Amino acid sequence: MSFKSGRIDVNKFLVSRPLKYDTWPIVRAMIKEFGLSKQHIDSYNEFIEKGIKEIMEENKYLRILTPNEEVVYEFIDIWVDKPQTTEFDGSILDESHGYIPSICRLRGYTYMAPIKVRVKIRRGEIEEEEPNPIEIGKIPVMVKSKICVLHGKSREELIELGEDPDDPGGYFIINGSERAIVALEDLASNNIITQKEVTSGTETYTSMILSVKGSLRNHVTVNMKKNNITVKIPFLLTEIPFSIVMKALGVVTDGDIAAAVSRDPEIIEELSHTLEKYSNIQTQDEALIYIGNRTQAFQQPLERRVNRARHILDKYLFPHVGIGPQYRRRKAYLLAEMVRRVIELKLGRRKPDDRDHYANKRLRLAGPLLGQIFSKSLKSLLKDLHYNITKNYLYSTKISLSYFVRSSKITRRFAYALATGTWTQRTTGVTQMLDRTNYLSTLSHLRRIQSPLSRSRPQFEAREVHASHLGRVCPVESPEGQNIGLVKNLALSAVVSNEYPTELMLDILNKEGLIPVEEAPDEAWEGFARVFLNGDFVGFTPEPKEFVDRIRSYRRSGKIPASVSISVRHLDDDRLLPEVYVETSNARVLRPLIRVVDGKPLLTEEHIKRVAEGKLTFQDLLKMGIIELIDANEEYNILTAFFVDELTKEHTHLELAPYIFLGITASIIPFAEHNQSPRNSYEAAMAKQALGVPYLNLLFRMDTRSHLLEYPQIPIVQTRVTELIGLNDMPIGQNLVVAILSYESYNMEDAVVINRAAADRGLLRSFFYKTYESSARIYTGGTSDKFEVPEPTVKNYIGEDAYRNLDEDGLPHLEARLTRGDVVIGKTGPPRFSGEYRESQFMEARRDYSTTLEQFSGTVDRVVFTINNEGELTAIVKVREHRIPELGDKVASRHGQKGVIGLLADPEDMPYTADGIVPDLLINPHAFPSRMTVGQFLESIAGKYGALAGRFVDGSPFISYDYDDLAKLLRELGFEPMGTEIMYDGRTGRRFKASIFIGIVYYQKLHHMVADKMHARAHGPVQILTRQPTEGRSRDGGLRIGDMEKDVFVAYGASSIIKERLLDASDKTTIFICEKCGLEGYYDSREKKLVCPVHGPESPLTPVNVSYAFKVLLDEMKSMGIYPRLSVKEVV
Amino acid sequence: MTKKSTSKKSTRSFKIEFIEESDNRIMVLLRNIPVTMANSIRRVIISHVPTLAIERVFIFRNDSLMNDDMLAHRLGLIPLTTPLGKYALPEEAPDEEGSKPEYAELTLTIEAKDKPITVLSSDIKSKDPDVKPVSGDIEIVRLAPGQGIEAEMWAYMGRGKDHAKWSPVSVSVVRGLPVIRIKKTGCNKKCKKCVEACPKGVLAVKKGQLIVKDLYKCTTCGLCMEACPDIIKVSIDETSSILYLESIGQLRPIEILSLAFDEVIKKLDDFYSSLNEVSLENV
Ligand code: SF4
Ligand code: SF4
Repeated sequence: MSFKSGRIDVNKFLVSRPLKYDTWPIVRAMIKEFGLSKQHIDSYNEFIEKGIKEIMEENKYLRILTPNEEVVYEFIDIWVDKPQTTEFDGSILDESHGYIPSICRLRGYTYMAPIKVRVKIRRGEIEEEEPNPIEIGKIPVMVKSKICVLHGKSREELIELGEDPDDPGGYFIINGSERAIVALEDLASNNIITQKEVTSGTETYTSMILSVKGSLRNHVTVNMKKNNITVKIPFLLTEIPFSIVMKALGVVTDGDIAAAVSRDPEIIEELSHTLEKYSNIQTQDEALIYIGNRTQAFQQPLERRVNRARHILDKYLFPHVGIGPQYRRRKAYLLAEMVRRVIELKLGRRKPDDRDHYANKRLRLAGPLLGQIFSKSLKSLLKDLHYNITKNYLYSTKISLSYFVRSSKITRRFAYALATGTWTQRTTGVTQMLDRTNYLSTLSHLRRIQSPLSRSRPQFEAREVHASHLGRVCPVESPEGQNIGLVKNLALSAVVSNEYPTELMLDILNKEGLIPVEEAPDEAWEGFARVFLNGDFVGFTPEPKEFVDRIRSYRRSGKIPASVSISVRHLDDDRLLPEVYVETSNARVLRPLIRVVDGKPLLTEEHIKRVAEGKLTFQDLLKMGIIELIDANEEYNILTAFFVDELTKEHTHLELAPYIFLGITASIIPFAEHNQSPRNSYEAAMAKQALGVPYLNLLFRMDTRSHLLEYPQIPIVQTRVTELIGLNDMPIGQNLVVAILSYESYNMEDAVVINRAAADRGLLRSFFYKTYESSARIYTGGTSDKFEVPEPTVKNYIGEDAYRNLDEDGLPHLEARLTRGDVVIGKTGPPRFSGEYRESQFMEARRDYSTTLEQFSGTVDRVVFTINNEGELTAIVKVREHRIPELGDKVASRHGQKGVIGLLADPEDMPYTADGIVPDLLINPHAFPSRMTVGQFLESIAGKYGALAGRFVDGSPFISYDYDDLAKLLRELGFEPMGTEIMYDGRTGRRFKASIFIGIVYYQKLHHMVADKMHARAHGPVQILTRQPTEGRSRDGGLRIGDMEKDVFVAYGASSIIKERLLDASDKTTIFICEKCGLEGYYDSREKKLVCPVHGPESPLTPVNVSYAFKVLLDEMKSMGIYPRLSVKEVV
Repeated sequence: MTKKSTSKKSTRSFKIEFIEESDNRIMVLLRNIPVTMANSIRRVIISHVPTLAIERVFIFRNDSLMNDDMLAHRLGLIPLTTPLGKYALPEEAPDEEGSKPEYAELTLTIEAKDKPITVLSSDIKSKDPDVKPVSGDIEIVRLAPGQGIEAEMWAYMGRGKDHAKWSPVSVSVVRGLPVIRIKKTGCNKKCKKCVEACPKGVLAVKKGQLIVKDLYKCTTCGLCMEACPDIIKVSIDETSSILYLESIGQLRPIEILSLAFDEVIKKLDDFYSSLNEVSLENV
């Protein structure tokens, strides 16, 4: 077999354990159809298409009251155009002029598109439409979203545009750097969450809703302390008794209020206290006054107070139910429902809701997050407009909105938020620099989920893996340390729901016999199941089970989207009434499951075959109801089998595939189910640091730092997901022959020994690219910087030698070898500080602003000369360094077994097998017993088999070969079934007594390399203030003798060493102390005498050696008016 | 195995038997040469037998995606046929008159015209017909239409000690002679457990006799012994050595072997003469 041309089709050479029921084609179809950053792109698209219009709807009118008339601006349409920006010279830049992502990255542009509106102006009787659409600002464009120029382009076209065809998209380009939005894991909105809290002995029962509609996000909380029930409504200064809120909403009599809550006497009993206590307030008006008095308008006239109360109830109480007076009754019922749950909880009939259950979680993705910013900045823009137009109205007759709109406001707000990740004062870190260490880390970054919970508090429950995470959030991939469990990643199978209009769903519910709340007869209130649609209490149904089945059949026949969730709770609980939940909202995390009827999966071999042949898509299967997307809520109603042979009659669903509950990074671990679980977590973290191929458009990118593995290899033992996510095109490691054997002491404590010959032949070599950038600034006054080789007369001239690699244009030629301290970009400019001007008047008034190579040497790889977005000439130089594995470089297998290179052993010293195989790497056997990474042994055996048979071996967790299979395969090829071999010591040629375990293991080179960290200094720069050595490698700093190190010397009694390290080799200085006053004197160089500032030259001054930091202390004390007196005495 | 027996056996006469020989591999049995001694030859083969390899590369043009560093490294790893004695060894000072040339010159000039091509080692042109790539189809780099490479390469003699590219062998093994003892009595010759247990197919039952079919394939793994501990005993005799090597192609295996012996002898001579110097000084 020859791999002569192009890409290896791994699937063709992959040997897998034969499976009875292999759903792999379905998994593949699903990922291929959905893509790996679908959740962000979908969410962004939804915002561009719908969200932005909703926000406009909220701010539809801009009313300007002028002395003589009212002018109303009405926004009648809003949309986002194709990506476009304005160049520094005012010209328009769009796709045809090269406004494409790859150029934006290079030139440091922000990739954005204008938001345009159409406006109607009503002025008294006259109504006219503005002739042209008005741009109100620009919104950053998500790469590969619907409006991105890359949308829908073929691979060839993408390559033509300088893109990596495998790039997942789903991030933004802000000032040339890629910013990924990290999804926020929020508590579900519009859902009642009932909980019990115990604070200092008193029990509080609460029921809470985060009501979200458009940009409104309001918490409404019902509290029950002892038997007093109060409601907390936003913008009200105190909590309001429940009965008063009900009365204000129009449910006036006590009987009606009680009836809205429940018909159960025990529950009504609990209400009575609240009802009686506030019985002095009888009517709706009285209730409104009561509430109005507790608004911010409490000092204003009665009418305004009442109006304020009405406004708050209509807009800020449950906005998700509706905004306006017509919804008051519905809101009252929802509030009553919350109260009922609180009482049921108190009575012990109901269990508190689990906040960590994924049914109560929603992901806040790019769309809503951008919406938040847009809504805020639009409001502020309108405020400005209002002010400006009102002000200008007196002087000018111009009323066209385009005249007043300053579009940079919104543009800047967006760019700032995305560039810094600051959304509100409290929510920061929403965006992050996209991780481009390797392809895997990029994918994983785009699928990350962040919990807004505080990092510093323990919050154990929130950090733990919850049963409802299965198939939604990866149980393995989470960072160690303070973020553990708060930062998560989507599982491979996770699908994030899109919105389906509530109204359409309501129609269906009505058609299927929903009894609306308003029309519900008494019997419905007494015993029917309650139906909630997106958290809104919409009605009743007498037969919940059948009702739910009927609605589900809509989904199963493809009439409504697969992401709609229909579930019923408390079906068989005689103390609670059943509750039906219908969810059509977005941002829920779903997972695909195969439906099972009568113990048989609906997905047949025939289906699988047709999907494999491409005749059937995953979407088709969803529409046919063969595969369902299940959210955590619906999971209460189903019974899922993990493997097909576990199916019984009771089962309703079957796992699509056993290995897809893992996240992307965890999915690349072969035989992961044989490892101790933390090891998989470690590997999930390390795979993101492995060097590989970060992207395929290397030539079109000038990232500040990047690595490239010289000979990336497709892993011989791999999981199916590895191929699916495209990691075989951009691998992150190499297949190494690994023997488990101690080698003198060079591989103790997790070090590894590497065969020098292998390293000579290219093993684990990589390139490190570093980019230097410099712009020729243009100053006010006509001067500017210039790229050139500086003349020796220029100020700050470094020396002829440092400029030797530069051509006359000030840039180095390609493949020039630069060493530490050499100039990469030669640039001169006028001195920037006025002080320098005076000084340099005699000289040529120019200063050297060249960029030099610090702590680094390499070869010039690429030079880009461009104009940045401020119109300045910019030079970008990429320098590469060849990194050959050396002592101390870090490597790791895919099983969390990391180590540093302890020795590059000569090939003749390495052990060898009878066939002459010399291992590339020796790992110490002590790495295994305590870590229990059995997966690595299996990988080793499977790898050996794969290498010998010329095949890739499938190591997908849960479905791959077990040891017995592998032993048999190996035995057939004439090798010891255990994976061991007799080996001989390279130094003596004698046989090792024991058989040595040797096989092929995929190793990753991690980006922690000695070349980046190695540092020492004899002498060097000092800090200006203290004259102590600087700190840190980047400043050529000294190595610190810290307090612990000092203690060692103290304990040893090595006082001279302490003095030498802490004084002589640091900031020793000599000061002169006046013997009379104890102050520091100085040396008068004109008189050539030591002088005391108080007693003059006559007084005797004694030289004393002190630390310069101490002298600074004395000076500071003097500046504060303290008199530090040093008394000097002769020491004999 | 005790020290005593080793010394006793090693006094017996040496004997070299060729077990297998072909163009690129050789297996010899060094009878009565202990493995420790044979191993020194193995070590010398890997790191001290000199060959030619490209050491300096002058790149005039390289439009390919591959960096110059990596291209040079790849060129360096291409094994070149090495005419023995024609080029100066690293330690031989190049003097003016009639001395051996220091390096062999090779060139690579290629351009992809209208379709992508793969540059192979056969595209390398050599000034010396005796020096050429061992194999013509080693892939160097792929070029897209319009891309080209122009490079001059100097190949120097060198040793594996300095860089693996000068190592003449891909495999070199020294190991003791396996000894398989089968008890005459007690074996039923039918169960064949031992035959099945052996992954290398060393044992066989032939004509109702359990025989050792191919002793040199035995790795002394002991699996047969595990299957039938009462009858089979496997051990290793480290007073005789099997030396097996596979040449990469720069030199013929037999050349490698004899050069290795030369190197060992030279080393011993050096050692001996420096020993003499030391002892003379001390007198
Ligand atoms: S040696 Fe033992 S295992 Fe082999 S054939 Fe004889 S009895 Fe059977
Ligand atoms: S020791 Fe191993 S290789 Fe040798 S004969 Fe026995 S089983 Fe076969």
